[in-house]
Amino acid sequence: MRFKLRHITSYAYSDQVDLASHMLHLTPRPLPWQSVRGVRIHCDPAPARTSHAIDHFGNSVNWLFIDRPHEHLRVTAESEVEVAFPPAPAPEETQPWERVVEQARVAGPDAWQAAEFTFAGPMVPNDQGAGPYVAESFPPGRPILAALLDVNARIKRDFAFRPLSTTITTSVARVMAQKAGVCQDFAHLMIAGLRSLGLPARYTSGYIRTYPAPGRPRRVGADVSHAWVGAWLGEAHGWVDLDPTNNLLVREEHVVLGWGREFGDVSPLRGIILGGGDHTPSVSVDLEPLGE
Amino acid sequence: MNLLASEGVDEMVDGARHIRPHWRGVLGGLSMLSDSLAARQRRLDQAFDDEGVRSILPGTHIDDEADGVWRCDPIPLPISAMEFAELEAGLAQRATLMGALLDDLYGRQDVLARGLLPPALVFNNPGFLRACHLSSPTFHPRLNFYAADLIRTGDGRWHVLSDRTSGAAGAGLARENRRILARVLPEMFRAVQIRPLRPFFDLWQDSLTQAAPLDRPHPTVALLTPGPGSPQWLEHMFLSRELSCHLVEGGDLTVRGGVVYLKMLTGLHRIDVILRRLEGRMIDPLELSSGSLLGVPGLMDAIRAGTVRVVNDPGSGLAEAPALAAFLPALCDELLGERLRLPSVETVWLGDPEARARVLGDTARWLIRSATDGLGQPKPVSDLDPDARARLLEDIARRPVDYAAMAAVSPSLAPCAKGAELVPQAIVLRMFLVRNAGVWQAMPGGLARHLEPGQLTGQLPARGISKDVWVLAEGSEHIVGPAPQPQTRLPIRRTFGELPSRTADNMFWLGRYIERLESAARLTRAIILRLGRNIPMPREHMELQLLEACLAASHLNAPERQEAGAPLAVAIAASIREGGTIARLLGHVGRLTELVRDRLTGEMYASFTHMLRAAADEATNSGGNLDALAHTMASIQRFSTVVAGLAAENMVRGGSWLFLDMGRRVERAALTCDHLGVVLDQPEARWELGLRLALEICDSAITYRSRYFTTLQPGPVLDLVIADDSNPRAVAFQLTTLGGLLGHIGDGGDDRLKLQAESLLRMAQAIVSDLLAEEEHAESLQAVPPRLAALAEGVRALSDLLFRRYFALLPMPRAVGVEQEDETPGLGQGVGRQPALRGAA
Repeated sequence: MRFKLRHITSYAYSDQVDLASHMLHLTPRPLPWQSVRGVRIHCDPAPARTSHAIDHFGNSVNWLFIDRPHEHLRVTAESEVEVAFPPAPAPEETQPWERVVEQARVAGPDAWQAAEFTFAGPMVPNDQGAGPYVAESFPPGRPILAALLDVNARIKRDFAFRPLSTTITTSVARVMAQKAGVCQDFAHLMIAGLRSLGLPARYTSGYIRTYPAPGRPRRVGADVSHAWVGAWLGEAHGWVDLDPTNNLLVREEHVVLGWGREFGDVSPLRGIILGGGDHTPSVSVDLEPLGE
Repeated sequence: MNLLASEGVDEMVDGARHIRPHWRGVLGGLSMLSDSLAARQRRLDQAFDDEGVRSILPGTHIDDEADGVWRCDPIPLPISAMEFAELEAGLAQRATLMGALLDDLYGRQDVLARGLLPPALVFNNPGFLRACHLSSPTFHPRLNFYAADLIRTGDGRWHVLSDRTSGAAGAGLARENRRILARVLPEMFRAVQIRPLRPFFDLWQDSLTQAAPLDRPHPTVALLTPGPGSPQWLEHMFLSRELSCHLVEGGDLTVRGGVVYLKMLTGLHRIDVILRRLEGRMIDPLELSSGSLLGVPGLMDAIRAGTVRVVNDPGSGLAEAPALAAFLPALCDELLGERLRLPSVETVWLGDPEARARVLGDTARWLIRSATDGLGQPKPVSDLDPDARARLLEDIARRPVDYAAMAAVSPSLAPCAKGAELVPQAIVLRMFLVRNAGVWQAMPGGLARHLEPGQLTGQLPARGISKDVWVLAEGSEHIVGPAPQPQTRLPIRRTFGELPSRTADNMFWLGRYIERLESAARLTRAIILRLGRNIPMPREHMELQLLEACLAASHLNAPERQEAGAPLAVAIAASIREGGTIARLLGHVGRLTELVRDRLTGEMYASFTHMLRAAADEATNSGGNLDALAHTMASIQRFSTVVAGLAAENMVRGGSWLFLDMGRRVERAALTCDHLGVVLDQPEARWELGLRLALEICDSAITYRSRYFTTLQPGPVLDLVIADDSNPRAVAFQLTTLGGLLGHIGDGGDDRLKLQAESLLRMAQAIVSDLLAEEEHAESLQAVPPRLAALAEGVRALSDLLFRRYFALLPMPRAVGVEQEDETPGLGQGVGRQPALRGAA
């Protein structure tokens, strides 16, 4: 599947900003199953300095430094992406989940990197009630992918998708209590639960294709940022991506920006400003399918 | 102490009860003292007091308890040359190992891939800063400085209790100990030949200079501190002096175009090397803790760009993880191909099931500590109450990877002075190393301290008893400095603008607050003197009201006197109690003195603080007694006079003095206008009373009498207190001086400000010349108070202009796109620290 991607972030400030630094995770990550071309980042006002690097997780990071007064910021990230996730193994043929836990604990040559994703992070601390909830899908000896698909389906069934019911810092415990949230909350919840069992789980930031209502044309800019979960199936099968918000095994309608332990590692745009007063952010995403 | 196993080894006496040879010199020196040890201990305490090592000023928040911070024991801890050489070699090897380990963990991570270190100790370690692990490799050594806490265990060998790879405090304090001890106990130094400390700081300074980017031949070095709120503030101040570098807070720095600059009065000044004394994860809110206001946005980018070197590397705290000790012998074999020379105190990681079983089977022998937090205190399982113990064991069972266990050990004992006696005390020794030209070298000395319960490891506590550490010299070959560097000749500098904006800001406010304090004390004293007379005359009633109104006009009486009907005496007593106006002003002056301390000579600082504390003590002890209160006010006035004298005689006429004096001039001009406006606003029948008060307030009665004898007339009085620029209490004097001072800032100063000061001076002179030109004084005198009010307003506007021109460079950064983490320690606030005064303008 090929897409043309455009992600626009705007800030309107009530007072002048004198100096601003921004860090962007806004360019799709090149992967064996995702090719990325024509990456372009445009910033208005023009930054005094830009830099680029690959971060600890292998994601692409851009920095923008603006040193002249401005009351408005507009960052546009564009690219063309072609994705086709490899097919997942047959669920019943994956190994029992306890063996995956053991492999991550021993952290051998093929497992030590996955071991990083078994530990708590600042936003996904240990034990927030997600453990027992997720554990229900993990009876002894169950093949790991079968159990994961079960959790994926239960989250979709048990939790309401409710925009604006949470913020980027809402705790997993809170989401468990209110039984509602958005994609980021469901991802954090599932990650917290899997980690409490000792399973490696990571946070993936990206986009998902949306479909217009029947009979309506596609609306430009109506897409949104999305997030889901990478789960480790053990040394033999590696990682698989699961989208609990939509109860999907990720195949070709998702575009990957990057991954980390949690949202904070891959937040699309974060910055530090001097001045600025109140600010109103607005985000517009357009994921346009090509060649259909 | 109960954390530890049986009695430790005695440092001074061996098993056969003989004095160890390297102690003989120390004991010989002690026997030569001309007076008692207790007397020297008192002098030592006094010297520390004078240097402010122990001082707590009113209003400073280093520590709330009025007790001392650090004391130095008069008995040093001697170390033989041979033992030191062994320690130095062992520590140098550990430092090399830590450097190699950090290079790997922030690079290829081979030690994880090869299973030499469990991933938990890295990925589950808050000290592992992912922002420091990037694709682009670093070619600079990550460590420039290394320290270790050591104890001598029962077998007589030194063992490392904690490795400090991030930046441990104490080197500055050790140097201070030596300096003061040499002054107070000179006999001791004649008895023993010891290695000096200063060459180590020369080496350190040299290594910092060499750390600079290659294209910067004359690098500028800055020590980055969390600020005066930090428990290590003193240490940072000592160290920055010792290493001749700028002492800066995050807010003093800015990154532009990938280059780090220090905000100076004259503009931005490039910084090439940062000696980091701020936690690594705090240094850049953009990429690390977004809640940190102590850091500098963009600093990580500048580090990656190679325009600045930060030592030690921000991520170097990773290697302080206590559980690492369990893996060091194997890592040393693998990474360096050598046996580890200096062992750690026996440590195991509880993530290893076998080790866990061993520890839980014999808890009495072990102390439990965090696997990754080197500052956490080891806990003895057996000493915990049953609940806490059950909780800890449960937590270990659930997350064993988070814990390490350290064998309980008995530290050695060294004699410490207690009154006239020597008492053996458990000690821990901190040693410091720097890397110069690729070689690790140890400070020939260190900081030994009494082990108090609960202070086994971690940061230096804010208080304690330390010991100077003497490394005995064998011959003179030990006295070495760095290899001589070709030095370029320094250009002669006499600039006024090379002052960090923050320092100028603090100096300016210190000047203003001292002046406000003096003015409040002067008026209050005048009130007390009148209250003291048993039956005040009607004229005195009137004067009391006017003096009171003067205080109110400058907001020097709020809030305690606004309570309706409170008798004056009660109100005055309230003003010096905690929260009262004068108490708060004393607090501000104390706090600001502490903030600018690195700009004052030791003697100035000592004089400031002695007098300030004496005044504060008097204020607390006066108990509402009017005589005592009058005395306190006189002390405060004397303090202000002494500050002025010290500043005039001891401070170079550079930026610091300039801003201190400008602060005083601005405030005195404004306050004098306020007060004259009040006392001169009288019906004709009370002119004389008003004029008399005007002279009293301006301390000009004697001058007036010498010029005009006893005849009071408006013209001569106003000329003396307003227009006479030879009277240091007159308004014109302040404005003339201010104009001159403004011309000295930076490159000739800001013309706009100078013009403003000149126009204010003309305004002041016009008030008097217009009055003198009139035949009838009656009407024109009535015009004076409004004109004085306008003048006061003009002076305050000038102060605001000054603020905007020179200090407003320091706004607070804020995060967007990510919610603030709630972890900002309340340290190092930016400008705007003085809202009360600015609001009163």
